[in-house]
Amino acid sequence: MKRPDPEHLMTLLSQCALGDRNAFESLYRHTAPNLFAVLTRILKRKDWAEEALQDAYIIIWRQAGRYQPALAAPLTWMTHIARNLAIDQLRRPHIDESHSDLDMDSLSDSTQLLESFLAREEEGRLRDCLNQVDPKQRQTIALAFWHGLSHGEVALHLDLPLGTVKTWLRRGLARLKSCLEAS
Amino acid sequence: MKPFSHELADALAQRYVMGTLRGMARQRFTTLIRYQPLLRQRVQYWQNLTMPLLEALPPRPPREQVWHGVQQRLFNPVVQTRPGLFLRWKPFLAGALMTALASVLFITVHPFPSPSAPQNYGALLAINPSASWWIGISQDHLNLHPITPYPVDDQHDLQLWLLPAHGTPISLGLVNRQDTHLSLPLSKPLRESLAQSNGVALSLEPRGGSPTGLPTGPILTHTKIFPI
Repeated sequence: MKRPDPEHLMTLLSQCALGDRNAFESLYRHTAPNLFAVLTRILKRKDWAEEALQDAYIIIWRQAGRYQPALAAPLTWMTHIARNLAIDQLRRPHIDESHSDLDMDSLSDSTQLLESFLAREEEGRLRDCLNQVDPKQRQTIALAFWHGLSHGEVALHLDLPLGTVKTWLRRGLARLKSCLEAS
Repeated sequence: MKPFSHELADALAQRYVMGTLRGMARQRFTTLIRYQPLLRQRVQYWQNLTMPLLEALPPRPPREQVWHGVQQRLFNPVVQTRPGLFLRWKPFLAGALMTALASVLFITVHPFPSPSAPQNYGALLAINPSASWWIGISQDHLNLHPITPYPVDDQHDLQLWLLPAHGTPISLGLVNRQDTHLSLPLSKPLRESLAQSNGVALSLEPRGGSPTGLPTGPILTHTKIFPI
């Protein structure tokens, strides 16, 4: 699926800042599927993800005037509003339990997603650098990042000691960072 | 407070963006971001850097109700309502007209004593001669006073709707099951749309209110409101 055009999203965001509701609907139509994909992976339950998606767009509408194009692309700004809401929600005890629902299917799905991301032909610094990270370490990174898993949860799902997971994540990210900064 | 070293700021920002910074530490960090430009800058750095991984996730369209919920919460923050489908409005119109004809026989305006604040509009909402409510609309509240109770079984609720001059009905809330006085705060725009509306309606909905945000059950009655 094609990604929303950043220029267009920027125009829509500035129209939202001026109170244009039609622009807001257009912004929602263009971006909600991307944000929802991020939320469902973290929150697992569709109704929780829907609730977080609503909250995210309410914040986006209200904060549209504060968006700063120089700092992040519109979709990046919006995605992180949604993602932070979801991760903050994970602190709710009843949601915490839901992480036991993370089954092997969604783990292998993530492995496949990562593989296809790494195999992309288009240029990408992140992809190039991830390719240089040890495969076990990068799988840990993707799992924690996509599913919003804590160190402990990654350890549980990969059946690894907590210390190992911490070390893999730290080393993987350090490798990633030095590669990104060198390129 | 001592500013973070670049390395520490970067390590924390990275964990924050990854999502592995949790609990109190995350809360504290979220507050610190606002005051420490270095942290903000490092968070931005990691967010921009990792974005391609988030963009790699296959998009998932949410259900249409979510959008209606967003609109409802932002632009019609009356009483908590559920989102709905625009298309449900059409069958509702036909039903409303039919029942309006049936109920118009019972609709009369009486100079009922106003219960509290000065009221500018009023209406008698009657399902039948032995089930009716008085609606009073003051500067900032809508009051619904039961005159004669209308029993509803456990599986249903009565829902009150504003019928705007243009557009779909707007939920004003559920009629109290105990059939006691109901008072809803009215925003200025909502009060204006009430004044210019086609009136109000009561529908029979599943317990907890319409699942779609628009009337789904039979319209029991419908009336215009009048200046008093």
